[in-house]
Amino acid sequence: MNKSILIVDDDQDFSDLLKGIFQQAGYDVHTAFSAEQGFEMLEKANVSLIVSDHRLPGGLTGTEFLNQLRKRGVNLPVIFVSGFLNDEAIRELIRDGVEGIFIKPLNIFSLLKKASDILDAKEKENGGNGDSDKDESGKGARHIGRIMGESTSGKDFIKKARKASGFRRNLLLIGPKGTMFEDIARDIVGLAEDKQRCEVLGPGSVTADRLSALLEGELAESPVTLVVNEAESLSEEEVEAILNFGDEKGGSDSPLRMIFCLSRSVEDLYEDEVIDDELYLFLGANEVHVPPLAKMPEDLLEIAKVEIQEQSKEAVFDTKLRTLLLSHQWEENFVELRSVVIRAVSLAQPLPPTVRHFEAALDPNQADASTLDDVRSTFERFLLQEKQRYEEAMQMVTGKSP
Amino acid sequence: MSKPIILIDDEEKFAVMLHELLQGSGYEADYCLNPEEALVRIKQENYQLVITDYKMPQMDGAEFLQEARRINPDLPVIMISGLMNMPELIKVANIGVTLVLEKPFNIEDLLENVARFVKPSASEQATAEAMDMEASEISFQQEKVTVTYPSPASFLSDASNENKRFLETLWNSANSSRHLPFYTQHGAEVRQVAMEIMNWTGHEVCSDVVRIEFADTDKEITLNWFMDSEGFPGALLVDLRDVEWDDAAKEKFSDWVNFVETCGKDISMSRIMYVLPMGARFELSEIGMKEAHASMFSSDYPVLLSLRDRLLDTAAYINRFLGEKEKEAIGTDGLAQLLHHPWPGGYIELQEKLAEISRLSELAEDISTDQLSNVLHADVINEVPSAICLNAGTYLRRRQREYILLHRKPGEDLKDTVLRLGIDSDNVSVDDVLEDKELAFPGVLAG
Repeated sequence: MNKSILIVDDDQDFSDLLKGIFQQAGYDVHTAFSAEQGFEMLEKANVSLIVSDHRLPGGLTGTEFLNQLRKRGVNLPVIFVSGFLNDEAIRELIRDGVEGIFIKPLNIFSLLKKASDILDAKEKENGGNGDSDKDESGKGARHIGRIMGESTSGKDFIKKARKASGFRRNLLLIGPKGTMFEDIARDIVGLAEDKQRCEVLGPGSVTADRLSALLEGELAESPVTLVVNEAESLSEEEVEAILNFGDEKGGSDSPLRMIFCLSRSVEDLYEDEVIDDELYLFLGANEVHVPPLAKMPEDLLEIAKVEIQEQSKEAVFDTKLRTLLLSHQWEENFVELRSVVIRAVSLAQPLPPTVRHFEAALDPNQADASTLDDVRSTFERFLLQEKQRYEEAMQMVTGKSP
Repeated sequence: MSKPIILIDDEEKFAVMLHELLQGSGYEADYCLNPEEALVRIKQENYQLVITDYKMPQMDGAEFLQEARRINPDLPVIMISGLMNMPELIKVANIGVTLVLEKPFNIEDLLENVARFVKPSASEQATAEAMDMEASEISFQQEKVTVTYPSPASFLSDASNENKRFLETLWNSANSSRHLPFYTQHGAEVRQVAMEIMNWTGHEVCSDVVRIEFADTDKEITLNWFMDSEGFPGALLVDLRDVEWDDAAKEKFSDWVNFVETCGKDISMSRIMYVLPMGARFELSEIGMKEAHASMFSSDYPVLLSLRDRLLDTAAYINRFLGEKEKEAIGTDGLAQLLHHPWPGGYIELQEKLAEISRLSELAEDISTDQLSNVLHADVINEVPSAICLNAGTYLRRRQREYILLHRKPGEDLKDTVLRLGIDSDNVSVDDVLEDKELAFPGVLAG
């Protein structure tokens, strides 16, 4: 767990005191003497909790500091320590989401207890990152290829992928058409404790030279994962190059490991003679299956939401849109989802897309251009309608035209 | 029925006032006078928000908060109190209170915060969707909603498209089903709905519609009344708006339906309407009931929206209850004032206050706007809002505010809501919209 604290206080003595207390309790401590220094420190260091004085240099109050942090997108928990606070200031801090307030003279034990409670709660929320034995659920863990594990199949996939992430030699990623293999493979590699190199090759880009470059010179001992896209479509020469490279450099103690992306299980591919004996034996049977999008309804919605918001921040993700997305088959999975989102967004330009734009994007043949002509938002139509009603109601009761 | 908010205050008067305030703004809430009892209910129910006093005789707010956090660490808790000192404030801050409001508190402030935490309930969603549906279907050429029920309706106003849709759904259901649940708020025109149905089913319409509280449905006196009556009422209202919808209530509901279906009276022409609170969860499958009985229920439960969302119905009722003489007495400004009033007490409030205006017009030829204000705000505890200029602009800005609050996602910053809904950013700023100074699309007023 990351137990790193940033102390912001311009009183050197008190800052040292706090630093000592937290260091003794096993925390990494960074210090800053002003809000500005604090912001700089946050860019450099990986901080998980801020402990700050309520009165900072430049007349900055705790509430203002908190607001500036939030404005910069820093959502870390903050504890304030202060000599005096009036009731209004405390209410403001509560409103702004402060995690703790301590008044001098300081009760060291309750401050330490508070800090560890906050970090424990935060860790629980993050699903105990990296500890696959403890976190069996898969939910709340880091996503893999945008799959959060919200659905039953998605959860199952996340669990298996996490378990498989420590593989030594080969991992086989099996997924239907349109699966974002590369994203998934990179995320699986990213689960490893140490930052691993990850190289992606596919049909047309595999050569003996490129392979050997992976472990050349000073890189010879550095762990690397080679991701092979569309492995079943490699040419004979490419397969041979990989097999040779694997025989030469691979092995259980080697820094090299490989992820092969396939459309079907190796057994099936072998049976249908898509892959030969040699490759079949080389690949092994360490398979992780990526479910089709339609089998993971809750994940589909989460992924769609992220994709849509990346394209258009103001887009509304309402029940109607959700129902529409769930009713589609998504035979080409992620790739199809991404292209539908882009199409809907471009149809709606310059306004955010609505359900009718997605309907049109999903079924280009039926897109009735005329229904898309009206670029006014529902909100504007609502106001317009209310104005008409107001006039009509006034006319009804007064008997006069407006 | 399961409600999203629980209020805790040992002072009954304050609890009731807050409860009414929330209800008037479309939020259903439970209230408790004892924090210990509240903790038990928090364990059982799936509340989205707690609003509590700090100083209470049984336990103080900090203890209560600690216990509530133990049950559900993520439950938002708003504390309303006038008597908290600094150590107390710090204590609750460190236990993770969500918000502390000082008494006397600003009502708008509270409501805005409630909107942050309480997810739109099913029927608020229905209101939001109805608002959107009306807006997206508007062809700007006054297209009419097609209806198949005998129109115009005779008792319930169907001047608004919302009520046309409500009646259309009810008409289709009433043709094939005997038991007809629908959602609405307190004060709504439930008797008029029943009268409409009596009219449709060929009964002589009496304004004395039989209405019973659900709590009374298993009382001997009630059951005997039904058995001793000559026939079964043509239309019967069963009010479930104040019911705690627990397992016992579900069982009682099933018993009641069983009684109706097997009482031996001729009920072939009778319709039984169930008035459900807005946003409640009413699932037939959760009520253990004979399949034959369940099949007598309609499948669509329409929502009779609150009067504030149906301006044309308000206008129709004003015309129904005020004659030319009364209208002259209050004048055009007075009529505008009636249309601008949000009618938190619904049709019942409207009817009472229009009757009061009639009485006043007997006494004097003119009724001043101040007099009218006093009638409209007679039951408000706080001061009567100062008279503001009433025109399409003020009305639209109020509706705009309601629209924005209704479409806000939980936890969303209101500014983001406005940006998401759309704004004519060349001509107006988000702040002006949120401060009720401008419309998000000022062109609407000009066009």
